[in-house]
Amino acid sequence: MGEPVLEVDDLVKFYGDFKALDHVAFKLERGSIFGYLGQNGAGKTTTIRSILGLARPNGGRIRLFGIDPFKEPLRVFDHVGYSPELPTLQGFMTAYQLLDFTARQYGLTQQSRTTRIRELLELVGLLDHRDKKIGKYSKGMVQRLAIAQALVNDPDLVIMDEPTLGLDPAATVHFRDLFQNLIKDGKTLFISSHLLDEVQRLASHVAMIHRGHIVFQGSLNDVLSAFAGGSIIDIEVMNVSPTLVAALRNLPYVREVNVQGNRLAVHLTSDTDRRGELTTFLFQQGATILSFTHRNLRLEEAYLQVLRTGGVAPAS
Amino acid sequence: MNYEWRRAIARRKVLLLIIVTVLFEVAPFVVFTTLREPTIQNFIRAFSDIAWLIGVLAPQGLFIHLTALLIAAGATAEEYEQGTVDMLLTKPLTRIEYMTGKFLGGFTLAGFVSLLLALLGIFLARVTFGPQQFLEYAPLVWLSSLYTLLLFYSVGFMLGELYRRSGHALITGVSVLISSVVLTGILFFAFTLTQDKFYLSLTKVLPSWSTGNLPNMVATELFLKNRVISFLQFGPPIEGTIPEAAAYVLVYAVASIAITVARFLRSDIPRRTI
Ligand SMILES: Nc1ncnc2c1ncn2[C@@H]1O[C@H](COP(=O)(O)OP(=O)(O)OP(=O)(O)O)[C@@H](O)[C@H]1O
Ligand SMILES: [Mg+2]
Repeated sequence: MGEPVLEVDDLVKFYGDFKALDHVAFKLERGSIFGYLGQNGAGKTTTIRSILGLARPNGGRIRLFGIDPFKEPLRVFDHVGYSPELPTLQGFMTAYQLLDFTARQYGLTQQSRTTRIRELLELVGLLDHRDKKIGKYSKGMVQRLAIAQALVNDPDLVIMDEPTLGLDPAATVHFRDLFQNLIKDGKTLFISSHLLDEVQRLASHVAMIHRGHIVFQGSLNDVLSAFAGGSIIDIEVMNVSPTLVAALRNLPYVREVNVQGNRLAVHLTSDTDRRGELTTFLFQQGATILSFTHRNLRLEEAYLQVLRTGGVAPAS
Repeated sequence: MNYEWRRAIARRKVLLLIIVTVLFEVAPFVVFTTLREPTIQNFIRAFSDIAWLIGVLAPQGLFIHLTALLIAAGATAEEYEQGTVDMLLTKPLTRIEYMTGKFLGGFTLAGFVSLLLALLGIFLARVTFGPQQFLEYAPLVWLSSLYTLLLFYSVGFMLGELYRRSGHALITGVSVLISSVVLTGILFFAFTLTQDKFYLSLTKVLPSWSTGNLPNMVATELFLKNRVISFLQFGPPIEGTIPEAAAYVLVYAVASIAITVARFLRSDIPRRTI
């Protein structure tokens, strides 16, 4: 039971001379939501396709529930659901037909198919469109259906490549709840995404891949606290000058200042509250403060930090 | 397998094939009944009792193989083009099972077209020329025709898997078929000039010889004996035996399937290719 649901070790994948995955390794514990982050072309989809046997890795070891998926695909795929990136489904089928076809592939009986399909269509909000040809679906509807078909077999592990791409805001919220409910049922989720806010709300664990290397992995809290000590002060001032920014950067407790218009995000080196010192300092510099808030680091900022530092957490 | 049929029906391929089949079968009978010249009428009378053979054998030269190529070229390639293969292969299904299903699904479809052609041919012969002889041999002749389908079907299937593009696979497959016919003509010409039998043996190696002539050879062996219907012989008269022709079909089919499987098992499943 303590065995990881998914274990990837030393995964290497070449496309010709191009090394898309360079000794990728991570683990998914049962019941976690694993956020897999990385820039465009970092290797997220390649990793997922390798895990599923759609791409043949050049080296490394993959274990799903402790089983080698290349040796025993039948045992593994009974317990895995997969929703691909920008899914394309059989356009000539209706949603109902596709789910029925999928359920047959898993060997579900006629009776359990009927109830299961109804349940899933309802869950993803497609019940009204069940008899429409998938070819006539909108992008978000296809995405919803792709998620539904990934759940047909009540899988223990659901792997989703950018599942919220193309979903409208209400659907995004709905699916966030849905994913959280899946975890309550004891499932494990692997989600690759660019939407860092989304991942921050959902994930319990994250890994970041950068140019085929895993640059960071751990629990969400680990990531957030490992970088920038976990806190930031957002300041809006009337007149931002380069001298002001330079002066801020020179403060011993400031690691970094990001400037956007007249907003400054001041990354602190530690969690210590520096609001008092900082307001005094700004006042001395002659800056007019419009707003001032202390907050925790966002995943997005941690992510950008990771990219800058190449995955090495700055000494704090 | 069932899936492959649904896919074909949905893509209106089946409808297209049925329409073309009907047109193809009706045409020769219309021609035979409208040509009123006495010499032609005499000629027709000479074989009107076995006119059903026309229906069964006429597609053998080109048409039925084009059909096989059309179906086979898209069997796996269209799944890549549309990106639907991912969904199929991440289910509890081995790659070999997937391939087998694809191969058989498409082949039964091609076989269905071939059966339709044969039945329609027999029916039209009966209607235009009255009672037919030797119909008891029709199933065997048809089966031999079905067997020859294996060659171009397997070649098309292989090309689809190699290119992962149905269009490219189809064009290449058709080129192979047509250049094989053209080459046969050139080689036969070389033979008439030199009388060197080597050129004849070369023509038999080409895929069009066995696929074009095996059913005719079977019919000759079974009941035609010395009644040669020259226009049902595809290409120049080249002597050969039934086992020889059957072996060539088998060799091509097995080699193509082996290449397909080797490629499929080793390579990445491509992301959507169009
Ligand atoms: N079939 C292929 N042939 C050659 N290179 C490929 C192939 N597939 C992917 N790549 C390359 O591998 C790298 C990783 O691609 P991958 O699709 O895994 O990125 P990703 O992290 O999923 O990006 P995105 O966020 O844009 O989806 C990219 O540089 C890409 O160009
Ligand atoms: Mg991707």
